[in-house]
Formats: sequence, structure tokens, C-alpha cells
Amino acid sequence: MSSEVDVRDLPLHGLRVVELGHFVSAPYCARLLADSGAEVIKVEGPEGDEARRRGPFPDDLPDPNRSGLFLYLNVNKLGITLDLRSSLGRKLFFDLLKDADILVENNPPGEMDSLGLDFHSLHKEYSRLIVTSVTPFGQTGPYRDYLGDDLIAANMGGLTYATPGIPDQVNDPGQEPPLRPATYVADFTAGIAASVATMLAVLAREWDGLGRHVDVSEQEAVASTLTWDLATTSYLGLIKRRGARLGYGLMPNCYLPCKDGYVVITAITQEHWLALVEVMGSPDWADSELFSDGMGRSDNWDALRLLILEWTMAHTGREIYEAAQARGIPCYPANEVSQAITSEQVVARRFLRETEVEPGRVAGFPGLPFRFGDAPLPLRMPAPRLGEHTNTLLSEHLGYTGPELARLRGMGVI
Amino acid sequence: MMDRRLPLEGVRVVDFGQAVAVPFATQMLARMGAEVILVETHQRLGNREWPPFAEDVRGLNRSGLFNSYHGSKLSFTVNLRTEAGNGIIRDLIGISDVVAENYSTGTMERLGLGYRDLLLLRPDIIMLSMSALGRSGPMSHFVGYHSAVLMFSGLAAITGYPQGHPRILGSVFPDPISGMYAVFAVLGALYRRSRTGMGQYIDAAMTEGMMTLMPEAIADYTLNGREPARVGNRDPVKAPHGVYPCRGEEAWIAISVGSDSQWDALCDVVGHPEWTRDPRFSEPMARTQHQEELDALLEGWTRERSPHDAMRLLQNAGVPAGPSFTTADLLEDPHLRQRGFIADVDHPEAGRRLKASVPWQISDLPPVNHRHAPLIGQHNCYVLCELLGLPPQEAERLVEEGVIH
Repeated sequence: MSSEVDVRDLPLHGLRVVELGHFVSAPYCARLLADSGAEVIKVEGPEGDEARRRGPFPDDLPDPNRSGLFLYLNVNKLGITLDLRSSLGRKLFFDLLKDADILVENNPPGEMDSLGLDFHSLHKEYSRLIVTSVTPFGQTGPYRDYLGDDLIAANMGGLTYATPGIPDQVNDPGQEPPLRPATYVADFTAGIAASVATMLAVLAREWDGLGRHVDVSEQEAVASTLTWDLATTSYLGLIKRRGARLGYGLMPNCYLPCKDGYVVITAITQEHWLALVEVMGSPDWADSELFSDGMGRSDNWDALRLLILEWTMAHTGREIYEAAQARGIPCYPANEVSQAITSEQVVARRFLRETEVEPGRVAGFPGLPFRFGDAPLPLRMPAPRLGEHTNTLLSEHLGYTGPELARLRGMGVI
Repeated sequence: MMDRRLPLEGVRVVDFGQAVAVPFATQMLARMGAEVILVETHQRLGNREWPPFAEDVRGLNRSGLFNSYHGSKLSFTVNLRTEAGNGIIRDLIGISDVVAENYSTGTMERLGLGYRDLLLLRPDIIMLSMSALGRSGPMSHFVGYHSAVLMFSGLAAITGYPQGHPRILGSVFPDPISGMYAVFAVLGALYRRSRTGMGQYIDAAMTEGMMTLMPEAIADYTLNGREPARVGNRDPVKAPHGVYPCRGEEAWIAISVGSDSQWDALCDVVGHPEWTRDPRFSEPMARTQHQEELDALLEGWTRERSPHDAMRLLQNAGVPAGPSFTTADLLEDPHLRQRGFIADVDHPEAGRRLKASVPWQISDLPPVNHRHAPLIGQHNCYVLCELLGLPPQEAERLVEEGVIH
């Protein structure tokens, strides 16, 4: 797992993070910090992070050290198991924070208080420690103690009602409930927002040396992605109804079936439209007044759609995208997952990180969606096996000796 | 008395952002204290020409799209294709910390403003370049909006109902996500610069941003060779897990049961404690295998109630549940209001409008900067005279010559 990149060059080199996270949101926040060069110690309970039980597993055989979701979310971290239900376990955890700059956690509001690990208690002892808490609804407000997972936060953040987005629409609103995107969309969005907010607290600490409490709400993280839709409501009092044609916006801006799948056609500027007409072979209907500008193409979209469809059905996605992109028109073929990850672009940018999950069995995982300079940020360490670094960390960071560790293990604390 | 400043005070950003992704990112920077100077031109007005408009009346300062993504920034209008205009931008970059752009690949280089050019102006500059597919690779020059990004990444292909089409995610989802990622990268680069004195080039790709959200699908394909199926709102281990119709039109409640105790509580609330003993539903695995029947039974209860009533009843019993909020629900939500997430911003031409604030609260900081979006060219004078120190006559001459407009 060695890499040629000097870790001291990584942007967050020198920052130390302790993560008391489970499943997606806090672990993803800590992973973004880890990928960027921070040293991250992940603390798990004796039963391990729930993501270890989620999969996908090689051949669907459950194994806490081979869950795809866990392996993705926890690369570049060290792992330790501690039982925080015991006072000795809490003391070890407290001691681990001694050298830390940041604690990232996603326990329900109030749980850290009951463990004596709330921000105020920690701040008294470690005034420079930044504590980032990610919860479904935040640390304050009427919904603070409501229960929520990704589905609930995605709904209460407004994203499921807003799905499908422009230019898509549902066919039968009664039969198609608001739809959750096929990912932990609220957890991931909150994890990214938490990484941003944590860095803001790190930069604020440069001013005055003080740690701060960062409160991230999944509901708000999701809602913040709907800025444009919120503007439509705030400016015009309108709600974009799922099945209604509240203006398509400028057209064509759509995806259509083609000979071998789907193709995305975006030609909303006049320049792109005229180029698209030429790519389509300048059909006679394109001269019609009805389609002469973007608003006309929007108003008469139902008719125009059928005309363009006739052309797309006669070609493959690849043919259309090559002809269109040659003229600078933003068209793409629609990819299945396998097509996306094997596309020449994704391969050329070495976006996927390959990890050996078991001897001779390699899984691909997404890397980071940004890079510093030319090269992707490196995979320095695979995700920790359950408790992998417990002994090392307790002996190196906290000075415990072999017999003491054996005693802690015997007591079930580690 | 400790000096209380927003974290990014003193950071100056020159913003060439188009459409949504970079404007979203630079607005976050501006709200947290950075001085963001949006470079605009009358030749290409971009977001200012997009609906919605205040009172549905067009006007360069009336676009809700523009005003919602460019809050807290300054506007500087300059013709970059003139030699003098280009020179002014170079001078401005020379006294700035960050340059952000999402033009098509090669545009900044053609303007003489590629990263190599910027290094000559400011050796420790941080440059953010955002594009659909990244600045390297065989497709780097391809352009694309959110729907194309979703389709290319495969995320649209796995989202949808079992018998339906791929689905585009709500609003322009890839843009704000890519924007947030970009902010994280810029903040990392600022932190690194404070340690090492070195600048940074950041190459961010929107399609890659979407693929970071699909680890299970990608791992399953690479490990087991399976292409994921569209499953609607279903979950492999939780049931019930769905969005159910409530009383009224387009009224919905999401319910997600993740444990046996939540299941028992749900059965109690809906008045069917006997379901807990029904062999079809008594175990989590059994519930996932009988979701159709379970959903139909549950709908019988949800259809009789409003989403808010259903939420209160279920949450009070310890069952995760919440309505599918519309944008109007969000703006009026008492919880979001009380947390200060809904910002009320007064704009001189567009009036008072509600906006989403940043999705975090950080203790012991001054309030988030929610200044209204700039009027076009509002800060020309500030940039020319105060920042660049041009004498007023010189600034006037630039206006007359059409360099500044």
C-alpha cells in the first residue's frame, strides 16, 4: 500500500482526528479528512461499526472485515475497539483525545452528554479540541430528538419530493411516491458538509487557538442542495410539483431512449440548438417557427420531443454523443454502473482505487472527486480490521504495557 | 476581549463561476467571511438571465437563480477580451488568494489565465477548476450539465422504480455536491498554505463526485459482477422502508423501521399489535420478504392522517418517520426556522426573499454573512479604486472605453 506521494505534502498532514462514528455520515467526514492527510483513529465498540454488516460481501458471504461499504468508508484510518459503557473504556477514550485536534461523531443528541463526553466537558480539558457532531436534525430545535435515518432525512430535507429533477417528471404521481436516490444521500451529503465545517473550525482556531463545536444537520445538508427550487418558491410562490409541467425550462434539456439505451441531449442555448439541428441532418421541421427559440421549444416540447426521438432511436448513444460533442453540444450516453467505471475517462484518471478484499480478489472503490495537481490522493492504508490497531495505539500513544493490555482485554474493555 | 471573526476573513477569491456548481461553492466561502469578487461581463450574463424573476418581471438584478447562488459576493464587470480588462484581472489575481472557475476545459488558458499563468502573478495562488469530467483524460474537453453528469456517472441508472426509467435526482443535485467537495478542497489548500506557504491547483470532476456516492454498486460490480437493479425506496434489510400516501393530494410520509423494538412500537401506534406475532412480519428478514403486503396494510393507516400528524404519532412512539417536505414546507418548517437555517435576505430590487443558509452551526463565531447578491457591476469602483488603487480618472476612462461596463 506504499505510495510515492510524500505524506507531508498532503493538505491536512499533521492534523489528528478521533472518530466515534458509525455507518456513513461521520465515518465519511473522517475519511475525507484521512484521505487529505490527517491521521484518523476510528473508535468502534466491541460489536464493530454497523457498516461492517452491510456488505456487499464477496460471494455474499458476510464477514465484518470484508463489507464493501465499510472498506470504502474507512480507508486510511487506524482502528481501535473500546467499550465506552465501562468507565475504564471512557477513560481510555478521553486519554486518546489528548493529542487530537478533532473529534468526529454521529451519536444521537444527548448520548455524548450521558457518556460525559459532551463538548463542554471536553472543552474544559482540551480547549483546542474541535468536536464535529452529525445528526439527522441537529443539536437544537423541536425535532432534535426525533429519530431519523437516511430515508427520513432525505424526505425531510426535501430531496425526495424534488426527485425527479429537471427535465425528468413522474408519469403518475399517485403510483410513484417521492423517491430516494439510490444511495445514502443524506448521510453522504451531511458527511461532506461536516468535512467543510470542520475545516472552517480548524481555520478559525488559527485565530484564537480555541476548539469549537460543529453541529451538522442531515436535514439541512439535504435542503441546501435545493437552492434553486427554494428560489422558485420564494420568488414566485410556486412548488415544483412532481407530475406537473411547471415549465420545462429551456429545451431540449432531456434524456431520451436511443437505439441501445438512453442519451442525454442538452442544447438550451441558441448556438447549441442550431448546431444540434445540423447534427440531426437539418430536417425540414427544424425550420418551424414553433421551435425558433428556447421558450418556443419549451412551450412545444411535447411535439418536439417526438421529432427528436425519431432521430435518437435511429442511432446509438455513442454515435450521438460523438457527433454532438464534436460540435461542443453537451450530449452523453447514459451509463450503467459497469459502463461508467470502465469508461475511458474514468480509467484514464485512475479514479477507482483497487483494494484486495481477500487473496486474489480485488474490489474497486471510488476515490476522491478532486485532486491536488495531477495525481489522485493516495490510498495509504486499507480500512482496519476490527480492533486491528488497538494494541499498537494504546502502547504507543498511551504507554500501556503488554500485561496491562492483556488485563484490559480480559475485562472486555478493549 | 477575543477577536471574533468569521473563519475566512482576509481570504480574497476571484470567481469566474458559471451555472451552479462553482457559484454554490464560492457563496459558501463568502458566507463564511471570504471576500468573493464575481467577475461578470455584459457579453454573457449567465444566471442573471434565468428564471425565476421577482414578480415574474425580467431584469438583471431580479433573477432568483442569480440572487440565490451569488449572495454575499461582490460584482465586478469587465471585458476580459480587451487587453486592458485582462490586465486588470491579472492585477486583481495578484492580490487574491483563490481563483475559482468552471469554464469548459481550455478556456482559462485561452484567456491567458491558466494555472501556469496565474503562478507568475501569484506564486502561492490556489486555483479551483471544476468540470463535468475533470481537466485530464480523453473526455476532459466535454461539457455537461447536471442531468448529463447523473447519466454519465451511473447514479441515474440505479435510481428509480423497478419497472421504471432511470431517474434524474432532484433539483441540480450534482452541482451543490460538487460545490461542497470543492469548498473542502479549497479549505484544505488554504490550511496547507498556512503551514507551507505553497499554493495548489485543484482539479474537481462532477461525475466523480456522483460516483463517490455509489460505493456499494461499484464494489458489488467489481467483486461479484452484478449490475444493481432499481429498487425504488426499498432497503435490503429494513422493512417497512418507504414513502406512504397520507390524507390529501401529494401528501406523503416516510417510515423506516430498523429494529424489532421500532417494529413493535409501529404496530402499537397503528393499532395492530397482532402484526408482531404474524409470521409474515415477526422477523426482519420475513418483513423484507413480505414488503408488498406490509406496505398495503400500513397505507391503510397513513391514508387516514396528515403527514405531520403521522410524524408526531410515530416519532412519539419511537418510530423513525417524517414527511416528504416540499420547498414550501422547508421554508415554513418551525424546526429549520428555529435553527436559523432559513435566512431572510432583503435585496434592493428583488425584495425580501427566503434562502437556505449553510448546513452547519459552529459555536462562538459571528453570524454567517448573508449580504444580498450584488447588483450588476455594483463593486466596480471598489475593485478599481480601493483594491487596485487606480485614480478615479483612470477608472472613468476604462468605463468610457468599454473595458469596465
